[in-house]
Amino acid sequence: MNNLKSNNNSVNKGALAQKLFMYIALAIFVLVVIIPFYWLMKASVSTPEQLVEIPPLLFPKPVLDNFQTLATQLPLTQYLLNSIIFSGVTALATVFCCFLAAYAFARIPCPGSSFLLWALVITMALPEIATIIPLYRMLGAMHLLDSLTGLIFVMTSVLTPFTVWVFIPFIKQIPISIEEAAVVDGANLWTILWRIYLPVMTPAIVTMMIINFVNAWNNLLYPLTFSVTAKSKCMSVAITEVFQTEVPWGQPWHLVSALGVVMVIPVLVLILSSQRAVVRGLTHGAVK
Amino acid sequence: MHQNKRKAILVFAILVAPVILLRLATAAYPIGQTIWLSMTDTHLFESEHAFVGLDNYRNLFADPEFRSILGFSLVFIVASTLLEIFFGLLIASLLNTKFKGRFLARTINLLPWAIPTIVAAYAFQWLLDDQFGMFSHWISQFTGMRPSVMSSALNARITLILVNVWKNASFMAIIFLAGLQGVPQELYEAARVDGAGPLTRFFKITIPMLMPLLITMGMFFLIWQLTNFDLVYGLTSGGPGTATTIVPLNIFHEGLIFFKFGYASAISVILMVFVAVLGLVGVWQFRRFDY
Amino acid sequence: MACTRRKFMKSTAQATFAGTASAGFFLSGCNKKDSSNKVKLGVSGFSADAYRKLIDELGFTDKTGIEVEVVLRPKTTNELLMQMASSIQAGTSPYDILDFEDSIAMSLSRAGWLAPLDDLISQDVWDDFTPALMKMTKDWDQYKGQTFRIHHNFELCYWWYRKDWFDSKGIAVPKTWDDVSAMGKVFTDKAAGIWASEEGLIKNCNLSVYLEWITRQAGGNPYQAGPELQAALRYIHDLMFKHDVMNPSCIQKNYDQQNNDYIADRVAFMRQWPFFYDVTRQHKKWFNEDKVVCGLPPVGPAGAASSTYACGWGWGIPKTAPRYDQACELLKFLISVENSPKLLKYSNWFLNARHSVLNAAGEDGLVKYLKMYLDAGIVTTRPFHSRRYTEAVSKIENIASAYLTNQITLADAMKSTRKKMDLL
Repeated sequence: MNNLKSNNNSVNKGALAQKLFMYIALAIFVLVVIIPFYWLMKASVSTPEQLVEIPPLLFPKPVLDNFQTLATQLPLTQYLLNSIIFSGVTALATVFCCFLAAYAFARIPCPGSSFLLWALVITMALPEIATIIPLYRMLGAMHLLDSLTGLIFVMTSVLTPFTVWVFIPFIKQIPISIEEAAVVDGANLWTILWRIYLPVMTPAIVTMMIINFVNAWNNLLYPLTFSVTAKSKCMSVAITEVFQTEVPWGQPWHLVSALGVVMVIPVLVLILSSQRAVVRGLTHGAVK
Repeated sequence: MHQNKRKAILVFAILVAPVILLRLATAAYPIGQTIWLSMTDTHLFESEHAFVGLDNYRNLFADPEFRSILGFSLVFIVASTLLEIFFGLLIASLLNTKFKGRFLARTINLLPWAIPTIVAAYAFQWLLDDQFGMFSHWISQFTGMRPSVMSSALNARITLILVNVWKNASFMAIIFLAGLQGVPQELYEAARVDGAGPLTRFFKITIPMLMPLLITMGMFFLIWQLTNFDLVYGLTSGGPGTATTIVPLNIFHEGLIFFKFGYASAISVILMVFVAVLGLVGVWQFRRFDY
Repeated sequence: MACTRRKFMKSTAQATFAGTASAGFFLSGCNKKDSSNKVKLGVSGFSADAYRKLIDELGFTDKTGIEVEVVLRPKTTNELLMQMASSIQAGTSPYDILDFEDSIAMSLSRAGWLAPLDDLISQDVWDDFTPALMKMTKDWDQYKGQTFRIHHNFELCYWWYRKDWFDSKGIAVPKTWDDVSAMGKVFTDKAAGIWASEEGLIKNCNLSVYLEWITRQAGGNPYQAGPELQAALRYIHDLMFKHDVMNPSCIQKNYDQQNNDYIADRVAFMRQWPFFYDVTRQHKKWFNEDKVVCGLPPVGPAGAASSTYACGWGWGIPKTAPRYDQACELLKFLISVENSPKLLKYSNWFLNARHSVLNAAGEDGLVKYLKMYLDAGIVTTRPFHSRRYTEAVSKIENIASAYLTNQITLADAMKSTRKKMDLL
C-alpha cells in the first residue's frame, strides 16, 4: 500500500516536472520566433528617424504613415488581388493533381513507377534561375506573358514534385486494409479516394495547400520576370519597387518591413482558418 | 490477371498524367538545353559559340574558388537540414501536446516561414547590425563589446546557417505535426500502460512512425536548399569574400549577371547530378518503407 | 474493380477538364490584351514622380501626339538585368526606353541589345557636352563606335564630413591619406561604436565603387591589378586594422546602413554619392548645415588631379523595344538642348555636366559642390573593364572582401586578382 502511494507521488512529480519543462521549452520557442518578427513589426510602424536611433527603440510610438506611403506608391490592392488569385489557384491545382499522382505512386504497382518518381525529383534540380529564359520563350509563344494564367501554370508545375513526395508517405501511412475492406464492399476508386483517403489525409492536404500557397505567395522570380504591368504583378514584386524619395540605392527599411507585414497578414488569416478545417476533417474522419 | 495489370497501368497513367505533363512542359526542355549549353562556351557577349566538350567542367574543378563554394554549400545544406529536422521534430512534438493556447502557438510557429525570405533577410541584417541591431545592443550592455557578426568568415557562416534554420524549421515542424496527427493514439496509450516514459515513447513510437516522413523531408530540404539562394542573397550577398557563397548563387552570378551561359550551365549540371543521387536514395527509401 | 476504375477514370478526366477549362476561361477574362500604344518609360521608383510631371508639363504629348506611360523598373541592378535578359532574348522588352546605371549599360551594350542612338543626337547636343561629360560618354556610353546611352546626370563620389565635429575638436579636415590615417586617434571610440570613417562595403557594386575610388587616388585602375590596387588595398586594410579609422564591420554593410550610421552620429567622414545630400535633408530633426558638409577628398599618392571620379545614369533604347520609333522621339525630346536644363527643376537626378544645365543651374545645393569639384580639377572618369565589366567587378570584390576580413594575405590577393583578370 505504502509502496503504491510513493510510486503515485513520484509519478505526479514526474508529470509536474514534465509540464514545467514543456512550458519552458515553449517559452523559449515562442521568444525565438517572435523577436525577429517583432523587430519587423516595429520597423513597419516606425519613421525612418526612429529607426536610426541608438540604442534601438524597443517600443516606438506607432505611426501608420508607412502603410499610407506604400498605398500611394504602388497599386497595392491590384497586387494583392493578383497575389491571392495566383497563390490560391496554384495551391488548389497543385494539391489536386498531386493527390491523384501520389495515390498512383504509392498504391498502384506499375513497372517504371520508381523511375518516373526519380525523374520527377530530378526536375527539381535545376535552379529556378536556370529555367527562366526557356520558360520566358515558351510563355511568349503561348501568349501567356504578363498574365496570371502563365504564372499559375509555371508555379503549379514547379510545386508538384515536392507535393507528390510529401503525399506519398502520408498515403503509405494509411493501412491498406481499409482500402481492401472498402473494395470488398464494392466501393469504386473515386469513392475510395474521396471517402477514405481524403478525410484521413485532411491534415496533410491542408498543410500542403498552405505550404504551396505560401510558396507561390512569396515567390519573387517568376512574377518579377514574367510580369510587366500591374495587371499581373504580385505582392512580392512590390519589394523590388518600393522606394524612398530621392534615394536611388538601397532598401527603405521602414517601407519594406511594412510590406512584409502586409504580406504576412493574409497568410496568417489563411492558416488560422485552415486550422479549423484540419480539426473538422479529423473529427469527420474519426466519426466515419 | 493480365487484363487487370494493363488496366492498372492505364489508371496509373491517367492519375499521374497531369503532374508529368506539367513537368514535361516546363522542365524537360530547360534541362535538355542546360545539358547542351554546359558543353559549349556560350557567352552572350560573343556572337559565336563553339562546342567545347567537357572544358567547362575541367575549368570548374580546377578553380579553387569553386571548390570552396561547393564545400561550403555541402556544409550549409547538411548542417541546416540536420538542425531543421532536429528542431522541427522538437517543435512538432511540443505543439502536439495539449496545453492552453496551443492553437495560437501553432500559428506563431508559422510566422518565420510566412515572412517572404527576402524580407526576413533584411530583418536580420538590421537585427544583427553592429549599431542599430538589438542583438549587438543587448550584448554590448552585458559585455561592453559590440559584436559584428557578419564581418568574419566563420561568424557569417554560422549566422547564415542559424538564420536559415530559424526560417525553415517551422516549415519542417508543420509537416511533422501533420504526420504526428496520423500516428494512432492507441500506440501511445499502450506504451504508457507499459510504463514507457516520454523519451522512450518518442524514440520507440514517434521516430519510427515518422521515419518515412523524416527521410522524405530531409531529402527534399537537401535538394531545395541546394537550389535556392534568396536568403544568402539578401543576408550576406555571399560575403565576406566568398565565405557564404553557395552554388545556386554562383550560378546566378555566372549565368544571369556575367552572361556566361555555358559555364553556368555546367554548374547547374553538377547540381543536377547531386540531386539525382539524392533522388535515388529517396526512391529507395520509399520502397524500403512499404507497409 | 476494373469497371469501377474505368468509371473513376471517366469522372476524373471530366473533372480535370472542366476545372482546367473553367479556370482558363476565368483567367483569360481577367487579362484583356493591352492595346494601349503608350511608350513605356522604365524608371526607378524614386524618380517616377519627377518624370511624370516633367513629361506632362513640358508638353511632350502635345507636341508629338505620343502618349507616355512611366513604369517602375526594379530598383536593383541584378533584378533589372534578370528581367531584361529574359525578355530581350524572347524578342521583346518591358520598357521602350529605360533609365539605367553603369553596370546595366556594360552588360546590355556588350550583349548587343541596345539600339545605336547616334542618329538621334544632333550636333548641338554634342556641343552642349562639357569635356568631362564627353570623356565619360566615350568610356561608358559608346561601344564599337556607336553610342548606346545618353547620360542625364553627372554624379561624383563626394567626400562628406561632420564640420561641427571638426570645429569642436579644433582640427583641420584631413588633406591626404596620411592625415586620414591619423584620424582614428581623434574620433574613434570603439566602445561607443563611433568611428572616424565608414563605408558601405558589401559586395554587389558597393565595395567596387569604393575600390575604384581609392585605386583612382592611388593613380590606377583596379581592373588592371597593378601596384595601385595593391596600395589601395593596403591603405584600406590599414585604415581598418592598424589605424582604427574605419569600422571593420562595414565590410558587410550597404549604403543604407552606412548612411544611417552617419545620421546616427557614428561617423566623422566618408565617401558617398550625391543622393546622400537629399537623404540627410529628409532627417529634419537631426539635420543642420554643419553636420553634412562636402569637402575635397583626401589626396592619395597620385596627387589631387585624380581624387575622385564621375559616373551617372542615362537613357537607352532596347533593340527589341515594341514601340521603338516613339521611344526615339521621346529620347530626342529629353536630350534636347532646350529641355535638358528644364529637367533639373524637377529633380537633382538630372544634374548633368552639360553647358546648358550648368549655366541654368545657379549656385545652390549640390550644384555648388559639383562646380567646386569641377573647378578644382580633381574629377577623372570611372575606372572600368571594357570587355567584361560585371564579371571583373565581382571577381575583384570577392578577393578584396576576403582580404579585408583577413581570410587571405595581400600577396595572395594580388596574385589571384592578376590570375582572374588574365582569364577574362
